[in-house]
Amino acid sequence: MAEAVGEIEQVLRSALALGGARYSFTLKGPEERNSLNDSLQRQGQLTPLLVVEDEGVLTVAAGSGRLAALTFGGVENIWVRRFLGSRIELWDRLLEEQLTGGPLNTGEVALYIKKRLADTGEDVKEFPLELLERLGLPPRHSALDDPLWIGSLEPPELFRYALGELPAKITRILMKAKRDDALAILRATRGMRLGANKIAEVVKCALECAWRDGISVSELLDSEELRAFEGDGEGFRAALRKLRYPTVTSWDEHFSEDVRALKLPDGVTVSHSPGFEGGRLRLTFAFSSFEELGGDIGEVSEMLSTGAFAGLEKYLG
Amino acid sequence: MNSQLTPAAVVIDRGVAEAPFTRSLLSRLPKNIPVTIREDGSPTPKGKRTLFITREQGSFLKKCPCSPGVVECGYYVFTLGFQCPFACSYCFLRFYAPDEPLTLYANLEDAALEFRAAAKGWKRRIRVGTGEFTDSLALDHLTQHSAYLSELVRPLPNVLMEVKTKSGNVEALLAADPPKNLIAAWSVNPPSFMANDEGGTATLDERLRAAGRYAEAGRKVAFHFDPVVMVEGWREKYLAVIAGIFDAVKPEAVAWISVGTLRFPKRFIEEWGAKLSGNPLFFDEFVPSPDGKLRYFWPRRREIYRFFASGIKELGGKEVPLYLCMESNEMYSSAFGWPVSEGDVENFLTGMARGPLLPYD
Repeated sequence: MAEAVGEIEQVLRSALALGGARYSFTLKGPEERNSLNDSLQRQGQLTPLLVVEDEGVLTVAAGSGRLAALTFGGVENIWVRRFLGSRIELWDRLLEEQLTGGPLNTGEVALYIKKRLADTGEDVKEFPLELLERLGLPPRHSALDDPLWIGSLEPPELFRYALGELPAKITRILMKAKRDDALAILRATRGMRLGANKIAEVVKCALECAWRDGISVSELLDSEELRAFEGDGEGFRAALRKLRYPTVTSWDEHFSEDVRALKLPDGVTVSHSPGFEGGRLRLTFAFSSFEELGGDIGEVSEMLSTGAFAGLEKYLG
Repeated sequence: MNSQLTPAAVVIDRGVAEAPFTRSLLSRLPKNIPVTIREDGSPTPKGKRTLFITREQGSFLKKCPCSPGVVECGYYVFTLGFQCPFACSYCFLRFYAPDEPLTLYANLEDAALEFRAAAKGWKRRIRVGTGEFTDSLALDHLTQHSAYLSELVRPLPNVLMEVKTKSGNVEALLAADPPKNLIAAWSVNPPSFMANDEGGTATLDERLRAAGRYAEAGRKVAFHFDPVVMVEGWREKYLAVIAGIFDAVKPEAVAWISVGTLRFPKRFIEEWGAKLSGNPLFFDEFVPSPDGKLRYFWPRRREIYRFFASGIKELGGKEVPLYLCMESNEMYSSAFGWPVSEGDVENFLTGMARGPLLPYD
């Protein structure tokens, strides 16, 4: 692919057009941007930008972030290399360059495919399977369903995926739901910081509550006053979980109260399996010395013999 | 519902057009139903109103696909067809094979050979059923499967063959002079649930009347409360069904009763949830069990099983064999007080062991 690129040359910054909207498929958070600015200020431009002539205008295909940093630093002369190959070769090269920095996340893959298709006019069914593997996807065309669905989202949801805020695991669930329902959940979770498993739980709970009640997710959020939820992500998750599993959460709450009421020694805990499955409880001792362990065992044993644990009997068997 | 269902059309694979099963079925088919011969390589028919007669290339007899970590009951499935004419909302066939035709296998001689060969190796009593992938009796007036099965197991008293149905279609079965080891079983649920979620099936009264006729003929019957669903007022509703059973048949005519709560794989809701919107049945408080299936959470299931044990004991007596379908050893122990070991349920249901496994005590 090296022959498709011209020699390194210097051009005036004013001769360059930003190509991020057309060619960029990765997003940098504030920390990454600051780090790039610092690096360019300290060391200057070490690698040329990749540029392409779009209708006579020299447009930055790779290096929009660096150009922004150089502009911020007041640099007037920019090192570039012109890309001279076909559009498809350009997109292959852009991917290759990006992969040197590590694999793409789900949202970046979606952005890459979306922008590549828009620029090259390729038919997605004709994507070479080798390209899918380079994107980190299984080598079959159906594997493009998820990124194409993500690519169909608008910002900010599309960018939330690209920034890694939304995990890939929720995509398949959202894809099976009505689009309005999927969008309603994504909008409701804007700005919430939740791990992958917890956000997946939020998605499932919201959809399943709406399906159970035969209403849309929007109607659910309105009726439960969750649309403009004022708490944090964890509170939102807990509220939806309670709606979805009222009896189970009630048992969980009562269990916690019953355990608290026992006033167990520090480091001694009683827990149950998810859904109380199996009808067994687990008693755990954390200790830093055998003396401490012996004391705790003695205390718990005394509590057992005096019937202090009777309140937990309903969770057994 | 009419117990004599008829298909809208019949498609027959060229290779089995002259098979005895096919000729026999065609002789009983109403004349106004179109029959087509399908040549090799042409597309297979679609839709469950079409009866498709073909050859089973694989095995007819398999161990019942149980679930990891649950107590096995030693059941075998003998598959003479695939797809069900009924439309139960919770049936896995509805989701995994919605367009499959009502398929019947014409090479029943091969099935019999396979069955007899397997039976030679069975040194103990074995329970076998034909109702895993289809309703055993819904089309019996056409298939005469009951007559075929009667002759198959008549000389094999150690085989307890179960035909499982949601129909009231027992005419052909009764006419076949079935042997004592051919057990007719009905899946049962409260009538209101049947009306809403078991489309096209016989009513509870029709099922119980059919069971009563079979029992009066001196044969054993079985009942399956599966899936049990926690509909509003479920206790009263299920108690009425239990009462209905023992009004229709004497307890000693009952070979066994199984109870299993609604369950499905975790991916089921992700895959089909949107299509099931508005049916609260599927969105109750299900949590994952160790085998990966979603079930009502433990205390509720335990409550259900204890309720059934108590209700059946009260209305049918403690000699009625009861077992749980796809439940763990812990649940048996918790709900019934049975600390079951490998093979216990199987031995219990085939009558090879009683004593410590007698329920409810």
